[in-house]
Amino acid sequence: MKRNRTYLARLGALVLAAAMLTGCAGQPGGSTEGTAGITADVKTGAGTAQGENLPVDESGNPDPLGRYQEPVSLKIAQTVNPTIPFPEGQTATDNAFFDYLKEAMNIEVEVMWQAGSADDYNEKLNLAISSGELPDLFSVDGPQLKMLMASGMLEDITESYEIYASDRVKMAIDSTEGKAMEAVSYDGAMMALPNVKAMKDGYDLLWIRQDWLEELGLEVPKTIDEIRTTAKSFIDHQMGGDKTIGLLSPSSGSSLYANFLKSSAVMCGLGGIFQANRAFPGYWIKDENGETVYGSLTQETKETLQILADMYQEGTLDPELGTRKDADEAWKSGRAGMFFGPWWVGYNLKDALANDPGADWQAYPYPLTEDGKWSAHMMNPSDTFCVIRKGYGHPEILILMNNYYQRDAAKVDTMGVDLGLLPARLLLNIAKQKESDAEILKKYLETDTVPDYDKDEHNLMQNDLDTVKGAKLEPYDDYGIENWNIEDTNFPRLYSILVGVGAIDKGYETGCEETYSDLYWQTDSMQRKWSNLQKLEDEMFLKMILGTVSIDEFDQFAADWESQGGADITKEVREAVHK
Amino acid sequence: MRKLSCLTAGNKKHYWLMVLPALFWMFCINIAPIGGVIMAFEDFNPGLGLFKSPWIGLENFKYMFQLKDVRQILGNTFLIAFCKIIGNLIVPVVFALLLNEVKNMVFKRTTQTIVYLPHFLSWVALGGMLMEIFGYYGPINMLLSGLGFDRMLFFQEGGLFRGLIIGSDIWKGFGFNAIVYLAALTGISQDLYEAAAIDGAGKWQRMLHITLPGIKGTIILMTVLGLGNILNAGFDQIYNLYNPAVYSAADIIDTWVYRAGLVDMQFSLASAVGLLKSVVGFTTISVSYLIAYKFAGYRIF
Repeated sequence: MKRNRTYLARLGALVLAAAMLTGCAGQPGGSTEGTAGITADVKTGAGTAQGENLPVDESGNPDPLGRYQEPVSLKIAQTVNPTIPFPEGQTATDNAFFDYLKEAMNIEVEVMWQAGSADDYNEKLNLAISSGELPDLFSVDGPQLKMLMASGMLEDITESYEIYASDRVKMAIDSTEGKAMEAVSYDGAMMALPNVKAMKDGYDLLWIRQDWLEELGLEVPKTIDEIRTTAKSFIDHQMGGDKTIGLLSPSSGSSLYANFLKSSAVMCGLGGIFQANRAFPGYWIKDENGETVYGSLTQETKETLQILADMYQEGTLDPELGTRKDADEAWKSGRAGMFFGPWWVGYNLKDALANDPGADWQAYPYPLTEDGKWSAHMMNPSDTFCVIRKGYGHPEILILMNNYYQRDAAKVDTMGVDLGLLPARLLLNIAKQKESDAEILKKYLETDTVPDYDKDEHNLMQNDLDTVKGAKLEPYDDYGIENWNIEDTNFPRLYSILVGVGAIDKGYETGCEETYSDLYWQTDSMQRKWSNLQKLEDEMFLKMILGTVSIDEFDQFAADWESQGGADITKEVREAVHK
Repeated sequence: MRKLSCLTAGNKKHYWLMVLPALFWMFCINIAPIGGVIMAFEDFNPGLGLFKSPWIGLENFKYMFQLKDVRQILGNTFLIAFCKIIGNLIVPVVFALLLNEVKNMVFKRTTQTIVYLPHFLSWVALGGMLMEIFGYYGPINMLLSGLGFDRMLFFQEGGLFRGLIIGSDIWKGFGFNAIVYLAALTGISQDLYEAAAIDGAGKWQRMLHITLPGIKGTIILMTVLGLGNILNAGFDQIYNLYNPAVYSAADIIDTWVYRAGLVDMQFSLASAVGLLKSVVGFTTISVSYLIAYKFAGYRIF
């Protein structure tokens, strides 16, 4: 019986302690204090490089593209998707990028830990945050940044940014009209370097199998009703086999639509249907009285949920909504007729074309509203941030690295290693270009002369102009898949621009109604209460669309949302907006 | 009794040596983190650490009980775990009794090997298979729709999903759980059966009066051990299979704490709910132990 005794004792203790998931966070509180002195020294010495180990030019002055005199060690965390290939002899922890950082900047990178996917990365990082054992330099999302800033775990980079940021980096950040800076400011100090995505990443476009439409003699659907009839027709004619999906839904775990914290277009999301009804769930929008309200609680959202529930019922909306393992797999394998996606879908076309070389995916700024407008939610260009752990002696390192990445964009791109592995790399695009890449390229294809364009805003255009005629075949005004050289290495990018960005341009020609969220970051009380409200919303909306809960429950949902902290948060958001 | 006396005798050192690794493991995994419960009473700030974060008393617990979720996850946890315990008790016993009646040794051995294979599959792998088999386009639903019935949305309707969770858990474990009972069955003396047969007892009567009493001790032991798991409704399994549409039917304490703590960074709230689980768990295991002692004379301490 002795064995049983210890077993049971263990079991008892297990029950006692098993749930203390976060109990492992017992962190010795004072770990940040001992190093504070070092940081102060570096700061005061920032102007005079003599005696300090700073990135300097040949004459020893601080330089945005300088090199450290002594080697600087840098601990990072990285996301390594197990499927990405490496050049011969290189690994995630020892590759051309690391050699480049050592040679160009004298930085010795050390990988503290790795994660296999973005979700894993966030979980590991959250655990690291709770235990206070952070890498020197790492990337975070909005809520993580908020948490870290409020906890005082980050190094102030205000001064480093002023001294070291290159013109190109500043230009990208300034192009957001203050939004990027607002996101990283805490008590007037700059605590992180924000990314800048191009605003075009936010639009939900309708991607549709043009070849199926032609086979059935159908027009491109312009309204929600037409999308429903088109989907029905695809399914009835088994265009993708007996498991044909009309309108595809996102992978399980992904949000159904963009929200104010993650405002980029959701791959295979349902945002297109919502916005055609002028419903903006997940956004903080103005009601008719000019007051800020939460978009998920509006009448328009309720009506759209009813439409989606009807679509699910009649089978035109993906029957595996909510449980779909991999949405990309479904359209790449040729089973789906339509989905909503961003302009860059062309980058992922390769697998779909390998399956079926005739799969002609075209993009449109549809469905339109009842009065024929293209209603679009507008994204926040900054949603990922790079930060320096408090106590790390070189806050400028982050800016230095990104200065180099901007200057050497073409060089790092051809090193053969996945760009996602470049430590601390931030997308620093121009938020809103005066003219789109597609417009310039189309002008060139039509007239055969290189048009005038802003070279700072379009730093990759020269390459696009050089290669476009290798990828796009004549006739130049027909973008059907048969008129492309799909083997060309520039095909994914150029297809994305001409078809994807082209569709956005078309939306603006039709008449685009832009809707911004009044707020794109978390307020104080959201830190504690938002995730539960988000869960309530995800759960209820999914159930209403699936029909396991009636749409009549919507008002009850709205009341629950208010009472579980939503009312206080709304008040707080209104105050933040009025400020 | 000879075995027990050697624990109190002088030469017990090597027994303690043998149990040392287990004690060490228990200390690291189960005892040491207990200090972390103070996080539940704090507004935990990772920058300040466990000992300097502001103390907010019962604030987290108050908020916890405002959330509908807590009642729901407690209910789900109890219901799912209870059904699993009952199922994991009855099915393996019945299976062991049936298999025990089989006289063909080849068939018996083969069956036994096959049914305990699923036990060795992880839920990550098995979860993917279940989603294929019971999914909208899976063989089960293709068969149903082919026969003209409505499809059953196992992963979208709460009740069906709960049934799937419980059923698949029992299916996965019954072969392996039956081993204990099969071993107990071989311990019953054949003399008893022969004597009963001579006295005119039929198969049914022999099972009721010889087999069942013979393995009664094992059944009670397994039940009490199972009750210790009443609040562990199966994180691996549910985490790999669920989605927001079935939260209300299958979200359990462990999955909730995982989401709140590791995904949403609500460290203090997650600790508070975790502590609640510990308190409830401690209560139920104490009660079940007392019941087992009172009604079956079973004791471990």
